[in-house]
Amino acid sequence: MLGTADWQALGARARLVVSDGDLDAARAAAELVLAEVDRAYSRFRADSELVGLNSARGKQVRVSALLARALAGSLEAARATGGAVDPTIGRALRIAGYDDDFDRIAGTTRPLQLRLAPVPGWSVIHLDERTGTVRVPTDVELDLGATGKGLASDLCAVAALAAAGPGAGVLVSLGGDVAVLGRPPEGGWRILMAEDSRADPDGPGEVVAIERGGLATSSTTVRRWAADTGATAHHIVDPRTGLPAETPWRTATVVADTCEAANAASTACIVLGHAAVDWLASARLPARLVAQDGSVVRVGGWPEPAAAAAADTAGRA
Amino acid sequence: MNAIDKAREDRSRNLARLRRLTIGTAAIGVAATTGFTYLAAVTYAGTTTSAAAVSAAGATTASTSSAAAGLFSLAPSVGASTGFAHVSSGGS
Repeated sequence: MLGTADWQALGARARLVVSDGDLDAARAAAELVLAEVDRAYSRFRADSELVGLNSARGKQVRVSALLARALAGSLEAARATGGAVDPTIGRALRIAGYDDDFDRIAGTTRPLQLRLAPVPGWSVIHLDERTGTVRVPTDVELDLGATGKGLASDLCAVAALAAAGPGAGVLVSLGGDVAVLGRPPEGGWRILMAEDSRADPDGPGEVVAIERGGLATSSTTVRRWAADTGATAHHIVDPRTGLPAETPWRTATVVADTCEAANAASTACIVLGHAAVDWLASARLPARLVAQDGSVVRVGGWPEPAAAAAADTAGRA
Repeated sequence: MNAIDKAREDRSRNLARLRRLTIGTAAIGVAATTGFTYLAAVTYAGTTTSAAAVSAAGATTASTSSAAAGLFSLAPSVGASTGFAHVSSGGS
């Protein structure tokens, strides 16, 4: 039996689906995790640990286990993507106009000033995991957008599954970054590919199923705002330029062993542009890339839509 | 493979995944019985990086390409499906 709960968290729609388990207990556990994540690495609350770290002006700071884990994940993602995702883009993001919760930016009526700020590069961050301390140079601001929501989904799934009870399975989605854990329902966890993660899951479109791991989608079409240059800016900064990435992709969806990894990979695809196809193949990651003209590129074993595959088989029979 | 064997395999896979997420085998039993605060508290016993945690799953960390293989290894398969979905994934 499936139970579903929806609520708002971390500036996104949270969805929890529990199979054969205690939904209320799972949701309570997930909400605890999300509250801790928000306190640890939200860029949009003045009292978050991350904001404090960004204001530490080069001092070595002891951080919580959660923030240390999140930072380690972001640095690992930077290494693994050759810097296509980079946690030191915080200042560039803020100067580009993404300096508040996106719901408040979207409501702005006048264009925001678009400025350029260099991205220092992830190697300037010194994380000592033995002592749980971090040093962030002065004028460097961290943003964990490329990995943080995915990690939050993974950690929520762990907590939710533990609370849901033996034999259960859980799916956690934070703004379309999906982590699944435990026993999947018959046919797997089904996910609708959409332009916007707020789309009704019962709506039309391509549906895929996974039984473990994570799936994440990055997009340049949802979080956009007007810049004073007349152009529109989006929230995925290219670390090489400090500006919103110029990309051939509207959306990039990746499946990986964890949602954190999927989150990093999908963001990297937007930044890498056409080079993402070869990069995904070398990393052996299933992915679905939608180009600006709406055409779809499937990589690493991403399946054709089920109806199309069935029609093709019937035609050949 | 019978149901018991599959359950064992699923449990092993989930435990391996939990190790990669929490970077500490001690966290597994703790996470099963207590809240997230304990999970976070034991993740940094100061022993391993996330890259090293992935190496526990078989990847090396000697180079960027190996680290890439580690973070992105063990990707699950994706199947085409029809009918209702449990969730949508798109931009947010």
